[in-house]
Amino acid sequence: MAKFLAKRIASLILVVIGITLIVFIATHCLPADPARAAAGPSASAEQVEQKRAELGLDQPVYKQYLNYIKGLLSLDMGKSYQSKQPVLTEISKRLAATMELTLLSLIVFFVIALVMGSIAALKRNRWIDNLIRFFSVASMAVPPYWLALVLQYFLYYKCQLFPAGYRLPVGVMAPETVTGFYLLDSAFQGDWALFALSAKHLFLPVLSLVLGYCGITTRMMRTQLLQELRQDYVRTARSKGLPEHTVVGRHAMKNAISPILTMLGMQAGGMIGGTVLIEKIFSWPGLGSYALESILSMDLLVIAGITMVMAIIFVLINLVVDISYVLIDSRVRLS
Amino acid sequence: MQKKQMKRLISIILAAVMIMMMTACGSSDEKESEKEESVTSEDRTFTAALGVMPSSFDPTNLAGAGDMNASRTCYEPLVEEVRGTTELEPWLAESYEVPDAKTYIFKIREGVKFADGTDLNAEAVVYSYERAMAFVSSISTLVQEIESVEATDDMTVTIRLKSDNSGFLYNVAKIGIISPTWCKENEKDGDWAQEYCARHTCGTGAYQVSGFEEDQYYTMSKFDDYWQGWKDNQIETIQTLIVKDNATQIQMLNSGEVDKLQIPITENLDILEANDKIDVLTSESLQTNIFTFNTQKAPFDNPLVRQAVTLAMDYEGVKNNVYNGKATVPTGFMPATFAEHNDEIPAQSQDLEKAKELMEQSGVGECTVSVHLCEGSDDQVQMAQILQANLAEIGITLEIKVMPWLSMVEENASPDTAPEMSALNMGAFTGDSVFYLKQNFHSMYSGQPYNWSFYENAEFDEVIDKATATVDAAEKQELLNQAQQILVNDCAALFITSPDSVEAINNLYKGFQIHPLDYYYSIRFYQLTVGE
Repeated sequence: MAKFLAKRIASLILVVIGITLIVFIATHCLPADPARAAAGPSASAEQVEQKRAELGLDQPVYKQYLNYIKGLLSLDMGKSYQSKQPVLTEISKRLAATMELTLLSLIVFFVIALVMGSIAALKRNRWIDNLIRFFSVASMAVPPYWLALVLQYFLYYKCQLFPAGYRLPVGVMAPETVTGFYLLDSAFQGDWALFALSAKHLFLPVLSLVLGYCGITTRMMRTQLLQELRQDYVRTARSKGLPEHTVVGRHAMKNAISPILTMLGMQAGGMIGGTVLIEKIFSWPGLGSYALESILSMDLLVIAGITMVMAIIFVLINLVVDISYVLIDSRVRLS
Repeated sequence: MQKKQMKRLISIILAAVMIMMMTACGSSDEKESEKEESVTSEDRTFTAALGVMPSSFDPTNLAGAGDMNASRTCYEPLVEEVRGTTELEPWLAESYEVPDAKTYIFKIREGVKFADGTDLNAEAVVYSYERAMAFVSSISTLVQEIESVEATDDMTVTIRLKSDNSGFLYNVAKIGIISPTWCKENEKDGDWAQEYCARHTCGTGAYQVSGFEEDQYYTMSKFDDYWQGWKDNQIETIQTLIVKDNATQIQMLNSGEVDKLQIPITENLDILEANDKIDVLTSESLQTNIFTFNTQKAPFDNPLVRQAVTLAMDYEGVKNNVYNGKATVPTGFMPATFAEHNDEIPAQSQDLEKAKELMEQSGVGECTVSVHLCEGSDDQVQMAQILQANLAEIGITLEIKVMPWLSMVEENASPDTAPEMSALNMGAFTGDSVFYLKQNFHSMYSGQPYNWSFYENAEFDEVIDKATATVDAAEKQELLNQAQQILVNDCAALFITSPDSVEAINNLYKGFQIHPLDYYYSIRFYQLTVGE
């Protein structure tokens, strides 16, 4: 296990170096000038050049890159061209918001998909199976941002049941930061009113993501479980007189779940990067919408920082998925 | 057994969902207390919506309407724009003199305090101007002509320019004055406190930033020692919510959660007009939407083709279909709302027969041109589609390409890389009508923002240079009349429409006036009162 982890961490460093290199090269190939963006739309050519020198963008790309890597070693990602704030501070403020939203959505939709997929497989061709299949297809067909708009219209605007967005109402102090997740931090503080308020604000964005993403996983779970239930070892287990819940729960389910985990890993990465529209609709102060704004304003160091953080998260999620294979199926060995 | 387990599982899930719903709905007590809280602070708290968190509250950051919302509220200039007009009035300067178009002398108002308790004086004004000139920012163009700023005495400041500019006072109206003491205390590595000023304020304005959550909201609170004093029914706190989605902004205004939006609302007018708690206000703007002609590239290097396109455009169609009638067909480039507008120029009109004749005379024949539009500007797309249909009738195929703003800036640096046409929604940044014409059509701005027509006409340059230098109002008007006529005669660009400003505000608040500058969405919160 230790060897495996060391190998993965080494590959993580390579990924970071590779990603930053690609981002640097790609952003310098774009037909837009970051110095112009930072200087303002009406700046003269002279002022743009002055800004370029001020930001160090007049140096060769390789020098800019080396300076950036040197900074990274001391955890300095540079300063945002727009806000003049350290990039690390800007990212960390928003990362927790995005992670809280996506992790909670992932957990909820994974549990729902697992339960619904299993029910559908076990009740194959019965009304409940048909209902779940209909739900899965509908979920796959409807994009999460559309669902978000509809949910917001009915549950916020029409029924006034939930807030339009944000992590907390204006003026309500955020819980003291431990994890940056308001649900956890308010629970740690024992402030249950704040916990309820945070949950209320999370409800619509999480529901949009869950409904939008769980269809495909539910369907896959159903297919995998059906496949496993047809296997010889299941027939043997049944013939040996094992109770059905042991056959399904201990044997078939374990084998069916591995491909679902792989898919979950990929979906998690996609979801962290792809919540931008949900964040926009619910004014969620996350990394997705910040990334979009930074790209539009050509804030290079912020773009590089966000891409790197996303890459690290993606690698870590896959690492967790790999480790979970072992925990679920003892036949799998990490090497 | 299996059935039982399944039933139990379903009951657990249902229970969990119900608990979640109950948590989400909140207890009735909680709702009541929230309501009570909002009732106590409702009258004095104005809630505005903004699309993006200002990147900085620094007075040098006036890059967009969102940025101005805070920096123009917290920091005040020496002279200020009279709301709803382009006129100027003394503000932090109680009076000023302009002995010639190069020299500006300001007598600073006594008894004005900064939010840190220090007094406004000539030294503070000099520091603010030196700071504005020290680094490149969105207001650099406004101070680039300054040669020196000098405190002649404790309460007098003299600004000298490198060259004559009779419109410089309009620039002064955008330069906010900052407390030098506070700034120097918060400087880091000689950065003129840029990092600190990005999220803190210390001006003389009626409200100062008192709190914020990144990308969620910021709050500005009343500055008790504000030099103009306070009345009972004024706003005490301004909450600015960052609402990135337009549809959400509309829903929030409709439900009363916000009191004013910061998005174009032409398309949603019917929804807002039906709400009796909302006032929808309309006003003519200082904006002309144009498609530039690349005058140094075929076929628009031929004036006859430019004239033909100008005559082919369906201006009424744009007004009615793109802006629901809330626009004016332009009479030249300068919007009619400018006092210096040349009223003798007739409105643009469509004449397809004449356009076809001109195309024949030009000898260009059938051709293909492209227009590049800015990403996110739906109105530009609709205008281009109307023009596409119109040009097809005179033998020109129009290709439409939407691209990021920064890419448009990049390609328009040279006539060789620029497309035949580029869309620009040209709003006036200051009330200086001479600069409005100069920036778009003077040869010194060719290839720079925003002479993207690469229009170079010595006669026009001369007239504009004279208008910049003169302090004689009558002479200036005469010169501006000439300049506007030259642009129309030369078809320097396709002047398509001047859209109206449409704003919606909770009618609990009185005193709001649409301001044609500051990108239309700015509010002087100090003018607002709760009720009459």
